[in-house]
Amino acid sequence: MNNLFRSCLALVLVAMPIGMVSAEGVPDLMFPVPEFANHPIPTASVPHTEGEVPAVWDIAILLVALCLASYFTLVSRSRKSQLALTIACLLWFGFWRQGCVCPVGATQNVALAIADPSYVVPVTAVAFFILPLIFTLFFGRTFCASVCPLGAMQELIAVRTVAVPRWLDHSLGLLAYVYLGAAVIFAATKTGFIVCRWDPFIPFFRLGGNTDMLVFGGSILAIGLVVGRPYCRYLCPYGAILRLLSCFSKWRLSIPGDTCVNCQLCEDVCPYGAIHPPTVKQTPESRKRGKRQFALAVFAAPVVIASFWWVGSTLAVPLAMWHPESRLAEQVRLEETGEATESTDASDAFRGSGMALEELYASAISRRGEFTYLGGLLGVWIGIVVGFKLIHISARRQRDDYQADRAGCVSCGRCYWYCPVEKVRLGLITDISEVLPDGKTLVPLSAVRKS
Amino acid sequence: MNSLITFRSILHTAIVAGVFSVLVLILLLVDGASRLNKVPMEASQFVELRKQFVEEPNNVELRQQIQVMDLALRQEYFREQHFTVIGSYLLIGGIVLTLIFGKWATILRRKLPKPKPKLPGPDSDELLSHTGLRAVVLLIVALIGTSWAMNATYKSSLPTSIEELASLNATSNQTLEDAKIEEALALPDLPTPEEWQHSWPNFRGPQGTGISMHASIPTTWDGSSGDGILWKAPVPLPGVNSPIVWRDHVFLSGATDKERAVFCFDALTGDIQWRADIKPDPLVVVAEVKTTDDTGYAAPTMATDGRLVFAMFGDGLLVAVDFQGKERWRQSLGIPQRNSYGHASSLVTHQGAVIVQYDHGTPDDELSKLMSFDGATGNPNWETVRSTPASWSSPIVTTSNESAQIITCCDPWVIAYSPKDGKEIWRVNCLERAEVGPSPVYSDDVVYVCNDTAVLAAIRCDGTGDVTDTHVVWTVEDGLPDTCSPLVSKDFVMTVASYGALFCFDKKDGGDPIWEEDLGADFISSPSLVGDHVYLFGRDGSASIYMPTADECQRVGEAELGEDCVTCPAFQDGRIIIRGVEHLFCIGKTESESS
Repeated sequence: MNNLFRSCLALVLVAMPIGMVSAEGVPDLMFPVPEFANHPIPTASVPHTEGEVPAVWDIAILLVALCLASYFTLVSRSRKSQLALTIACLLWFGFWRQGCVCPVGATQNVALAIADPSYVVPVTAVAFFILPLIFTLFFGRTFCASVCPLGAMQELIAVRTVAVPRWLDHSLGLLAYVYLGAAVIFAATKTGFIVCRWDPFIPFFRLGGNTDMLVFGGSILAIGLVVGRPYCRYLCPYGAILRLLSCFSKWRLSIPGDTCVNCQLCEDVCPYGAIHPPTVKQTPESRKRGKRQFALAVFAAPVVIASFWWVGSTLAVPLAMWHPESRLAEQVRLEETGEATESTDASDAFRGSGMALEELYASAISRRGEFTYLGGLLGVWIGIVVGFKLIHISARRQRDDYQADRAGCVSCGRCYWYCPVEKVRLGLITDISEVLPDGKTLVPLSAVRKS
Repeated sequence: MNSLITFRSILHTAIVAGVFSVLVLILLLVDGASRLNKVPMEASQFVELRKQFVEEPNNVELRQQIQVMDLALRQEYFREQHFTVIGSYLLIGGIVLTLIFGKWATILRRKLPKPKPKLPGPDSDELLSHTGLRAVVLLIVALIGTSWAMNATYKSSLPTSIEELASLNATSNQTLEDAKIEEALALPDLPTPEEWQHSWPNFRGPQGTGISMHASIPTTWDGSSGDGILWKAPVPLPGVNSPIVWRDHVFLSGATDKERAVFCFDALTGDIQWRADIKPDPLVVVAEVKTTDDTGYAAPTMATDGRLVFAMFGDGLLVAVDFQGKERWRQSLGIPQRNSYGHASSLVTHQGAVIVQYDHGTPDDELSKLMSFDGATGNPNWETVRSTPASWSSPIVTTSNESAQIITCCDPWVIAYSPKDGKEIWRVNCLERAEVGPSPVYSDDVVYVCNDTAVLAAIRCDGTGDVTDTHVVWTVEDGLPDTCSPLVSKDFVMTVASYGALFCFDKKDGGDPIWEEDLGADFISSPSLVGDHVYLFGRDGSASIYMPTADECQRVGEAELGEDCVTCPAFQDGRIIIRGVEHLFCIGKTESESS
């Protein structure tokens, strides 16, 4: 009986808000225009854009949010405050501003502005690109922690995460740099803003989108339930830049070595695998093998770069095909030669434009030439990233205490939440042992170091 | 109450919300999949009804049926949209509740993590340096594999360089040019003047006068009963152009917004010998052609030079078709701009050249042109820009003082050009503030022009420059037509006034009308002259035959076509070929009746 009552209560709890949505209903549907009706032709008008605010407000709000995020991360070290800010930023930058403008996409505006001086890049885009970079240089990835609506979405849905093995994490992380390189090249050549086109969260922010975007976004969210921030870690091109800058940040989230009790809780709860334990002393064989591997990686890196340069140079045709005009030229050419029997909307529209075929073809061929060079550049970039990664993982670093990964840590503050030292600092407990797992004994880190 | 909100009730709520979300998601997916390629206005029954309506445009019941179905289909479409919107909100609500209650339940039972004790052996950095290396190498292989797949998938059909493109274009253009020249050389010689005079090669006959050289033309017939009708053939596509006749072939064109064609009928039997479907010009295929129901998409009457037939359509497409129905060349002149009724000027040929009066736009934008194309190849001979607005009159080509002239009408000018190079010869300002529809008529070195709201004027054709003050023989302001061209006989000039009255003026002096006859019908078709009989076809298909004299207008015959008619007849020996709105008629007597 009790179970039945609980189930009924559960049903009521679900039905109440849903009923509220349904009761509100939707506005009257547009009355369809029947055939032969002498209906008046509606006058064209510019629709009111919901959520439109002056650019300066966006910049100001971003600045305030970044300041708060940095304060909550580094000064108050409050996960609760960070969560509240995360939700607020998600609502504002995500659902209210519908994910635009965002620093991830602004990277492309800046790339286009650099490549084409005639392109007037919006000041909001520049500010959104620059401000998080500056804050990262000073305070680490506090933008990722609480301000980025894309990160916020993933942060909130990370219900039960599993640890991704470090080898997989490191190799998949390279994809973000590949994506960054491609995004910059495509933006600079006006091929398209692929980061925006494939932003997995836009359909949710705007409550609608293409099927492919919905499927991609849904997949990222589904993966995000068990893998912490998959988009941020393995795809986000802006995150790739922040990861690099974060390595040089002046201040950042850190685990104070002098008070650490070596409880391992922070390492265990970090969903991003960004807290590394102290290293152990290597055996002579290991050290020797490590050195050999390091030397091999150093020598292999230039070969990798050269190889990727060559591979990139051969990608002129497929890369150029991403440009709509090149695709159109190919389609029109196929139609002209009879290989394509049916025209497309784009080819019909082209023919209606009165533009000469030769101009279209010449433009496409010229672009293909550009992409031979740009493809090579993209290859070099990927080669550098991959080569550096080979050297990076071959290099042996000594750690005497728990450390947050400079690049990988998104400053989410989960480690504070569990850290017994933090709880004592905040006055939530009086003794560290109160929050240690059963059977766990306190081992001061200083003692570990001595041993 | 607090006791009720226990871990289990919260967990159950999360589960119920989750199950609910999954159900809604399934419903949305099933509904979305069923509507993936569904276009409401393409429902088969609806399409069928609309097709039927094209054939029966006056079927009121059918029209209402379409209206009802149209409304129902649209309502169904928006109902489905409504369903999706509501479903999406329910799904979002369900997911949010699942997450909130799930998280709540987790918090209530939050347990501290239990880190596993560190085992002796290599640390995670050590493992990373070995396994990570392999993973990165694997990634390199994957990236190279992806590159290879991209190269294998995307193949370019374009030339590899701009130089190669230029070379291909040059070869292609040369081949086309060679083929054109070869085809042009294979054409027969131009017809003799005698053959020309006995045919009906363009709008209103060989000289554009509406005068037939033939005799023995019937004066009574009934299209409904078939009396006096030699044959009657349905015309597959609509058009307000008039038929032209060359030997035993009758040509006309038809078009809708979707298709266009040239038809060749057997003049003896009425059978369609061939139909040449003309593909729209791909350059203008997506642009909207603005026209009216009265003009349609195939208003210009075709023309022939005795070797090929030429047709023009409302989208500015000029085509040449041979007598076997094969398209020989085409020129797209662009969609007419700011032409309130749609393009309607008919074609005319002169010594193997096709003359196109393409008036559109305003006097200031200089869109209007008079153009000449080589009939055999379609290559432009010349074009002359005219600072004139849109007009719907057709040009005529005639000889004056042994030299040929192309005479055109527009607001406010009557302008003559040389067919050799398109240079202007003379002009007269007499059609001011008129939407010019009637075509000029030439007779005895004088051209007669007229238009409603302007004048009927007789102009000598031997001038040069602006001859408004010197070469206008006479003008009158009575009996002015808005569409019908004048008819000029040996002694008279006759006009069909826009309100349906036939006026007769003295050819030499103009002056007051000699007589006027109330025709009691609305006229679009221009009058024709066979012998001393004037043939008039009313818009309702009624025909009147008059014999004008210096004193009166004698009605010598009446007939009915049986359907509306807005075109001009073509004449053959003993026969009239006239296009109704639905059929092509051949009026005449059988050999037994004649004998």
